[in-house]
Amino acid sequence: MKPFKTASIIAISLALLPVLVACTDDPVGIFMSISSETAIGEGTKAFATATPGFLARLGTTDYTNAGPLYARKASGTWTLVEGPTAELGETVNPSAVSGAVTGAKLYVLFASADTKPDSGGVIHSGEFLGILGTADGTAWTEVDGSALPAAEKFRGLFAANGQLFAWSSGAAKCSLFHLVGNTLVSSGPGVLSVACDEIKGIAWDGSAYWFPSGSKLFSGLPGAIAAQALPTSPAGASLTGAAYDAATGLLFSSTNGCIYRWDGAWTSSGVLEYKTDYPYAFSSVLVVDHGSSKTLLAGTKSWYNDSKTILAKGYLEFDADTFDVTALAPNTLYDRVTPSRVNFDTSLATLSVTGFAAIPSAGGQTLYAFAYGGGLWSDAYVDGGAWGGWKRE
Amino acid sequence: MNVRIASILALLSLAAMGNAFSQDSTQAGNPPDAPPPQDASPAEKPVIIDSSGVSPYEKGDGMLSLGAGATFDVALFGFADAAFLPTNIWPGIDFSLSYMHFLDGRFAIGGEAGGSFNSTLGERSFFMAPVLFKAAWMFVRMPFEIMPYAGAGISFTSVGLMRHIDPTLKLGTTLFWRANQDASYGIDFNALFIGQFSAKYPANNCLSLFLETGLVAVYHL
Repeated sequence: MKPFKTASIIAISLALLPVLVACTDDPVGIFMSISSETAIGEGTKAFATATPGFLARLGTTDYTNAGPLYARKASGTWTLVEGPTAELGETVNPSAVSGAVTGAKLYVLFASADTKPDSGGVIHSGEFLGILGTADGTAWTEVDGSALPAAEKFRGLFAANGQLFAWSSGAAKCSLFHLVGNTLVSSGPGVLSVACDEIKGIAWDGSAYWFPSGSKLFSGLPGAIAAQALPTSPAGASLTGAAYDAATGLLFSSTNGCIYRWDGAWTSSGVLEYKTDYPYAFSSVLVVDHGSSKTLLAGTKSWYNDSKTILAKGYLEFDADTFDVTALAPNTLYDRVTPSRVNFDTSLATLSVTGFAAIPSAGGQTLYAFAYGGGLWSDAYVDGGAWGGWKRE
Repeated sequence: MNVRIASILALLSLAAMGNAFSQDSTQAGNPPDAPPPQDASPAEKPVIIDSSGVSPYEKGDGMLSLGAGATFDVALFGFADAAFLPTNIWPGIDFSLSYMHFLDGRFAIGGEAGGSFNSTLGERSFFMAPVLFKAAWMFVRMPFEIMPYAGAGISFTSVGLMRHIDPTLKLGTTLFWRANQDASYGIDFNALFIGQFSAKYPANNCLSLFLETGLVAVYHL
């Protein structure tokens, strides 16, 4: 190679270097982003790949499910709860499918976790066992669920405004029950063995309970709950979660990328898209009241009702202080309930968030997020202070 | 992709070692004081493994190097705060492929491409792929050679969904042991400076320093 040719190549290459060197428009640089990282913790081993379905506090003890029931006393570690194995005639600690706290009791829907076949060769794992309540986490009393239609099984529990609800399904029909004393009674002829999807959430708006159920929506008071019309614009509503706050009104998440609001008439956000023609599949909504500010969180999942999938993106957050659902725009800095966006990037950003819980505590509150196959995450807030950031539980 | 690159590195290393062993066996077959074979061409290169400081290289020679080792992010300087910041990048692995072309018996220029993988405090994966123009000077004391070098170019960096292309400067030296006239093996030490600059977000302007060390296999062309 002749020297002048070599020199030419070097000169041309150096001249092109500034052209090749480009910076993204990301407000957080890569090295500065990494430098801002905080440890997200190893978390409880049993939660690592679990999909928790609920988190409820009874007294000073928190309960959640990761297969079986787990409990944690204040500032302690999560420990496995030996459920009502004997009471249910089981030999294996049963799975906690769903749970909720009302009044002074924790109610849990249990299913069999016994993977060994019985004498007839039948494996009963996953079969519904019963709904039981406890006031102390050790003594369990079974709830009378005899009103359950023969073809249906109890699937989940919800609680709001001090009222416990249980829903059941079977053969493309579902029913809704509420607890009176220790007995579950039908919540209304409008939802007794009617065709519906999974009942996915609950909200109390001060005058009625609301239950989003995909292509159905139910509302009313116990004993008179009936189906309601779904929003029609934008089309394709499939309701997955509900939340009520005085600042925002009654909100519903939907898998068509919309947040719908009901105040006697439907209004909606625009279709919020992950990318063109791929709307966010919202899984849940929660309005967080922190200090003098409010934030709307909308969990997103990576799958739609059909087989189409997108990358998991955690959740979207919105300013709920000056709330206008028709002008809803996500806060891309993700700093309303975290110290910085870096914390979001290193925690929930690549997970499907199936739900949230907000548990008040002395001098603050703790947010919980349920990640599909990604465990339980928490984010603590101190009144007048700041958010600690998402960490694995 | 990294598996494919590792496979290529391994194959090339084995090829170089194969040449080394075959050369060793040829030399072992000759008595130490035996005259050169009668059919040796007058133009054939002289025996180069001696202890003189004479360079065995000449204009037009080439070196193809494969390296693999460890990388350590030891410092991060933020220009906005004029302070050193936590790097939060754990030690990782790196690999490189380089070609150097001798312009005379001492001076060589060439290029290098490589990559490194590190995990971070927040359990993300940091990937960096420098592409550099290099210049090197060769000091020879057979069977050892020392090659200090400097390189400049760009690095493709990524973490999570973030991507960046950053100016990069590399300063280092490689200590070789000449196994035979076709192959050398060595240890490399270098410092990699990566600047990250943004006109839109000047608070992100920073300089990161990585120290790398590893083993190198060289095939002499």
